[in-house]
Amino acid sequence: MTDVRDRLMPVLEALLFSSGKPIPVEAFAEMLDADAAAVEGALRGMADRTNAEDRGIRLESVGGGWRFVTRPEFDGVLRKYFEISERSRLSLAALETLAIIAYRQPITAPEISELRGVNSSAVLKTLFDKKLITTAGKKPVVGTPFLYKTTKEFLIRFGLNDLAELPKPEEIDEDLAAAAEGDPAPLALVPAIHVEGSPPVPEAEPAPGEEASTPTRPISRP
Amino acid sequence: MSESASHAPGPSLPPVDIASFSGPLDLLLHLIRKNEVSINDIPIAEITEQYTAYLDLMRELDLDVAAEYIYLAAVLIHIKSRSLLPRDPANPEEDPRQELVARLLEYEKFKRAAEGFHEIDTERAGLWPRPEATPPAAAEDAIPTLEVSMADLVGTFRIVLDRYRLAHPAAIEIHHPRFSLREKMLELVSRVEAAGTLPLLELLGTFRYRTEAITTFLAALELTRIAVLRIFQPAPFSEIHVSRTDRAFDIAEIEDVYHD
Repeated sequence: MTDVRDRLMPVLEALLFSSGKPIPVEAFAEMLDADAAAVEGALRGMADRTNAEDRGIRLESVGGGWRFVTRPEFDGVLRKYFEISERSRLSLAALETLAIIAYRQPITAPEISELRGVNSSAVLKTLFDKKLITTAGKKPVVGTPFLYKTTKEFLIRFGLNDLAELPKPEEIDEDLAAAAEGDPAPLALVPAIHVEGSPPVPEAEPAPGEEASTPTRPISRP
Repeated sequence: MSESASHAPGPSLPPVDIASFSGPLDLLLHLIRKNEVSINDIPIAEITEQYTAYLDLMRELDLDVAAEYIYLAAVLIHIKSRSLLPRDPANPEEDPRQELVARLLEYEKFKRAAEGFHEIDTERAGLWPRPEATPPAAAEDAIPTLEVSMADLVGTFRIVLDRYRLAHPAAIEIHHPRFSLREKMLELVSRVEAAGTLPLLELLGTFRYRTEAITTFLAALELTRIAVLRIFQPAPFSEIHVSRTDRAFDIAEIEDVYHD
């Protein structure tokens, strides 16, 4: 068994090195005419080894396949090399919408808007353009609205192999309960115009890019 | 409203990132948290007052106050007015806030999930995958295959359409329908033969193109000249009719004269 593993590892590494997309175990098995379990074992062994060693990359299992990625601590250096100062981030509205679709899919735009209490069509377009969601047919109700579901790109972006790996709603409930007892400070994704008390000051500094992320400053109550 | 006695002295509104809310429920939830009150027991008068004060503030800052924010303000005021009414003693359990509470709890669940997503996304944004490799020695004539999604296809098709539209601006197409005298002569004879007597002006009025009517009129004149048709008027100022004469009509005979 160990023999098979050692024989498989180099060729798996070559394939992984050449691919930007996660490669499913079955695809490896078919290409190499090998047993899927053996491939899986070899990949796990390689992942353990790669991730344990002092390496700049790691092997991850995501989106139903395996791929190499760089380690997060080198993000800064890589961005410098590729001259990327800021990367586009998902807004709070987009993340909310994505969460609703992830947990309630397939779901229609009106249902999403109802849950969020706000029209979500612009956000849906953003998510669609980013290929994080796609359509899943139409709902057989009046107006036959489109149903939306998450994509494989969504799984890859959020490090999931399948939807079953999403945090369970009960876990979110527990998290909520814990948050209610502890520090209730909400996560602020968007720095915006700070307004203290009243009367309001209209001359606020121009709001920086919507996608940037800055921590909120502590709030002092009088 | 912000100068309300219950908050005086000093600033009455907790400092808030006005533009950062993803919707009215988000703002409401934020106010509830800031006031350190329970979702299940919202001090509706106080929260409504703060909520509407923020909407005023948003307007003053020239932020677009979406209709959904105003709608929730109306919902809050409605609940507030209902809670001022004495409760039905037969049904003391009924709380006007119930429905809103249920919505807020549901919304908060997804908001929390979104925060989790944000954390994961932030962390994973720093992981760089391999760029897609192009096989170095792919044969020249090999057709490269790419994996495309339905969205890619639709998007590409849209681009193609846009490009086509730009290259081919809509133009007014002018048709010049041509009508042959010979054809019209044949047509007229067969119509007259079928009808016996035909009201000519009425017939001419049915044509879509002026040229067609003119050609038919010319055909009628021509057929009268060669004595195939007879044109008559039953009474002064009445409709002009055409009818067949006894003379045989064979287009082959006159084909050389009336070619297309």
